[in-house]
Amino acid sequence: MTAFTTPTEEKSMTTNVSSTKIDPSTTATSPSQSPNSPARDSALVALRKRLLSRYGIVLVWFLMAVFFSFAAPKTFLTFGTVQTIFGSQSTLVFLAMAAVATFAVGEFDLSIASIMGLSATVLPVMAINVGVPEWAALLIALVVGVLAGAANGFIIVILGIDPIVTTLGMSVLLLGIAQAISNLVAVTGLSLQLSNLAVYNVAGLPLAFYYGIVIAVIFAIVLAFTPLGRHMRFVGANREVARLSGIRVQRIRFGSYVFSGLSCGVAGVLLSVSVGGFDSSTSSAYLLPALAATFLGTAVVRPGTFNPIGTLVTIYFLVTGIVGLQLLGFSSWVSNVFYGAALVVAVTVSTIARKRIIRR
Amino acid sequence: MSSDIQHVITADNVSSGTAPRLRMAHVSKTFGRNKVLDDVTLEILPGEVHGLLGQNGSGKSTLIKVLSGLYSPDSGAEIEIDGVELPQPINPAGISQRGLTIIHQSLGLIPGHSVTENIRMGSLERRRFGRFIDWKYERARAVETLADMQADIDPDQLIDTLHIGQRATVAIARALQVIVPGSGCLVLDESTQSLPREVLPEFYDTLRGLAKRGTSIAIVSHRLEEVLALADRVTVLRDGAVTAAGVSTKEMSEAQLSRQILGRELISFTRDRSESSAEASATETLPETINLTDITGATVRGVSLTIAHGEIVGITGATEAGQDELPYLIAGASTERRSGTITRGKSARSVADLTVADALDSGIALVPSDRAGQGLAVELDAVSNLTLPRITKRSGRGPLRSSWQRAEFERAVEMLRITPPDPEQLVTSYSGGNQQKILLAKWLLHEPQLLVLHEPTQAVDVGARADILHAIAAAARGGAAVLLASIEAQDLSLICDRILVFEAGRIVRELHAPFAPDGILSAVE
Repeated sequence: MTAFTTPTEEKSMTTNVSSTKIDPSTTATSPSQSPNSPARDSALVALRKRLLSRYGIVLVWFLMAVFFSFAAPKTFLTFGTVQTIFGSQSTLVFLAMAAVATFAVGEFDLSIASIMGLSATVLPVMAINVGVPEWAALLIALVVGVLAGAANGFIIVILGIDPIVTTLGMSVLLLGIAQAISNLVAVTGLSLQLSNLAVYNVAGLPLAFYYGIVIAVIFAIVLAFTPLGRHMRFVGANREVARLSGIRVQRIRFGSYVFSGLSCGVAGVLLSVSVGGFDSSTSSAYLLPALAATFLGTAVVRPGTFNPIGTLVTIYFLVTGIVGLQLLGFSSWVSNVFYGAALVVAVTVSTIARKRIIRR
Repeated sequence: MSSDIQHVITADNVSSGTAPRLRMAHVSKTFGRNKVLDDVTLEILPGEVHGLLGQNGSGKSTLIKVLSGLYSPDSGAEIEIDGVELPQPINPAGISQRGLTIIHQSLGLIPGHSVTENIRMGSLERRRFGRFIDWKYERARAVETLADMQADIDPDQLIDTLHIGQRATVAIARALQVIVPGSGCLVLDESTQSLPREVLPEFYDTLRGLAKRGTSIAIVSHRLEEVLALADRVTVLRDGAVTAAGVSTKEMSEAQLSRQILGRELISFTRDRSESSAEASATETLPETINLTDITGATVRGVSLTIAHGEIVGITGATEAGQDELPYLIAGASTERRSGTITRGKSARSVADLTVADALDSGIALVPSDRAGQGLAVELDAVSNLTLPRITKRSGRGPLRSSWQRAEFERAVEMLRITPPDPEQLVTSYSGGNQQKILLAKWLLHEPQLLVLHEPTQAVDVGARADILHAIAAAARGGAAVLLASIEAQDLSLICDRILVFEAGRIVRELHAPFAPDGILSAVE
């Protein structure tokens, strides 16, 4: 857990000074005006409020872990559980990063799970049914993801079609294509060597886990520290303002769909190689968890904005809850209830928070 | 209250017996430690036109938000309509039942729907049987209301086909639906801001007609002339407190009133034109003029003009005469079909495929008039808005550094007196005048060769206006060629070297300094 919350906290403490004033209570009291001793108490209160509003989920996460440790001490407090929680979610991390990339620039992508499913299907179909070398099949699967993202970008950005309708249609279309090339059956039989790309054990956790951390951190650095990230924020906030400031808005929007496609492709490849194959009909189950984590992620680290680290934290927060409840004896319906509720709660909370920020 | 503030009059002149139509007393509003309204009193008599004046950030919009129920006031506030206390918290449906309606700046009309639908929205009645709308009846009611206002508007027309002045009339017609003729109170919250000058007299006549029949009108505005022309009495807010309560406009000159608003004398603004051109010609590295040749767009028809470095050229005209499109054409912001050439020294650039990025590369920067739509991302912080156009150039491939961004913000504060000088504050939390200053600074810091501005002082109070004009003049002194599109005759007369008057997409007159504001107005008409 600490392995990645620590860098998160450090990073946002230094970079997120800009959102200091986002909390309405701190705006009103404006602690920076008087740094002297009488104001110190209220500054502390404000700091505590700010930490709570940013890292509230981390606190709830910790409390949840403590609760499960007492409720199911024999099963929850084991290294096996830690492995289940942190070893199983890297597909979701890449999928959620795809969602963050489009949402952050004011776009919308409902086809992420289907692009992932297509890539996950193309890899074993190419390697086993067609018989190309596995590394080539892997590359083809990634290219398929990029092409699918570029198709979305072309229709939405160049032709100017509504993103929700387009990606909804694309999601069903791509699912159909995946089912067609796999003949509606699960294709399995990828080599163990290939699967090591994802599951090779490093310090108790599979390699794929570290890929997820790396992509989230790099993405967060791009968003917070580079001109590209600043441009993305403005394209997301107000496209016209961005255009009149000389930003190539269309390029950024198109790029976000292409990146989304690539990230979905990686998610698909990881999924496929880790289990040796893929059943295309299961891909749609991944959409909701990814969206839930993306939206709930806006309540963490940088409140009110889609951000990679918040999303990463949320993914592991949600799966901890699900694993814990399942260990307490609830069956698998728990995950539907949990993810569904999380999405609704997340959207509600972030909308209300946004209103409070804007209204002064 | 200090003694230098004259005319702090309370409601002595309320004729005894009749209760005021609207009475707000002891209204305070605190956000955290900020007291935005401090014991404010506002009394509006039946059948009067009452002006509520104040600078941006003086508290007028907060007061209206309290009245409309959007904010709840601190305890102790009293709000009465016709002498009957309004229960708090205020519920918007409740105040309209009592005959009070507020027309906001945006007018709140729904495009794509007819005049009838827009007027009757919110008042639709259903037939006795079934729950269907009786459109014949609704249309008749709309026609009736429009006839009452003596407005010649076809009730079946779509809102989109009306010109902006007619739209304002429709918005008033809708507001009148909840008002019994001869009673009630209509609050216009900066509603005239979007109206072009030529429709204002018609609009004023409508309002005066309503007041004559007994409906009270409150106009919330920072436009002094407008309020003086229209209102019987005014209430002035400054820093959240009333500095003049219900003062008759007959007793007050414009100068006195602006002193009440500002708390100080109007900043006198003079620009030494000879000095500016002398300094500019000293910067010899620059080619002497920027030439616009045969610029054509949707309304602009083959306009050519030359601007020297250090010169401020004003362009003005009626709405859609072309001066309001030209800035967007030459800055690459327009997406309409366009043509023409911009020449500077030996380099010539076609306008036809010019993008904003291209224009910026050749040193042309645009300050658009639509601040929240095109100028600034208001939900993001001030400093990143300010530095946005330079973020790539200043950072290269490396990470963003905050030091130069801070330095830019400090320069902006120094140039334009932005308050509060807090770089992390969201733009939306700044007052309108300060937002406008941030927008101007965003482009001044770009040090453009050609600075193009469209209505840079719109919706800005007197103090901010002077700061903005000073900064524009300073840019010209620094060698920039400035093209200023505006309908504010006073601004133009203060700052420009030349003024070009547009009519039907062409330049029809050229005026030279010194100007009188009246002369500019008559040249436009």
